[in-house]
Amino acid sequence: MTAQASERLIYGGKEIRLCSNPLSLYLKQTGIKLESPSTACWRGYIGTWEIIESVGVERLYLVELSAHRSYEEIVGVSDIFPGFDRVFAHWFTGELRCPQGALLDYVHGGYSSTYEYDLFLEIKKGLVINQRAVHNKARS
Amino acid sequence: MSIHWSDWITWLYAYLGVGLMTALTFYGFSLKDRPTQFVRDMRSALGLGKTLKDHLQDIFVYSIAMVVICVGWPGFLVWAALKKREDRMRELEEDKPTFICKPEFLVRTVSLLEAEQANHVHDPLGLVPKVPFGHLNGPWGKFLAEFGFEDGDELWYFEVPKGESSGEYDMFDGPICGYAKVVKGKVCGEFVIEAGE
Repeated sequence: MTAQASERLIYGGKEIRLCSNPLSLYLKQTGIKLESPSTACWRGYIGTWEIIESVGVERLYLVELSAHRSYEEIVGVSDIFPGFDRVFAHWFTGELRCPQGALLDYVHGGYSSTYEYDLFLEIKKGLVINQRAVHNKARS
Repeated sequence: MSIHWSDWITWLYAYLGVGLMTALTFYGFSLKDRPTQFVRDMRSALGLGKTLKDHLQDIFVYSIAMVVICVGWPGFLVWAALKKREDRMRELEEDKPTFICKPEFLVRTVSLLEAEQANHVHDPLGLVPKVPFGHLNGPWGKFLAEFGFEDGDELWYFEVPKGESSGEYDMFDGPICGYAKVVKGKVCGEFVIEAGE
């Protein structure tokens, strides 16, 4: 096991870590297979997401992608979503976890490390419907 | 030289002859499962090759098996046929698709038109195709093409509660929802549109 490179989320103009994989269902449904470039990225891609507000509603968008079709071949959003260079992630429902602050506990696997704060964004069909922050403490 | 079919010994020879043919056939099949020369060489190199004792043991076991088959070949053929049938049934069971949508998760029947109308995705920035299911329109079309819909087939909306995901969707914590093709109360295909993490 190796700690996994996180996704990135641009929220309020600031880029933060995103320890959730909103692209999973889309890749599964479309049957797109990606290759892992290293043990730190088993899923084979790193996406940059952005919460954009429009008409009073915040939505989740995929704005950049670096995906390995093979070890050498790296593709972007328009290769995975033909005709689009950014996409609205309407297929995603769930909670996004964005760890912030100091690293309290490093865990050598997945997204299991603990940071000072976790910002949770609840998403329903790509729309932000709720958010909350959790203050974490280091394990003694 | 003529064959005296009225003589019991002739019938015994014929019986054993068929048994011998059966035994040789099964011996031939068993040779197919032998490790390749490469594997045998590798095992030898690792000091795991067969010893003289192993060879003698093989000869003894095969000889006993041949005699048993020669004598009891009708029973052996019945056993082999039953085993083949059982293996085939197991293969069919393993190949059967497993769906995350169980009958208890079916919520309501919908028409194709209703499903498509309910899943038009609106985005003020226009970053989604203007087709049913948006970016998932391709997989939706594939679902319809793969499973087809005939008279009597039903389309159901389903919801899998949080914590009930399984199989190929076990990485999603749930809830999971989508549409299922149902024929005579049995789920025959499914299309997931939401899978919570």
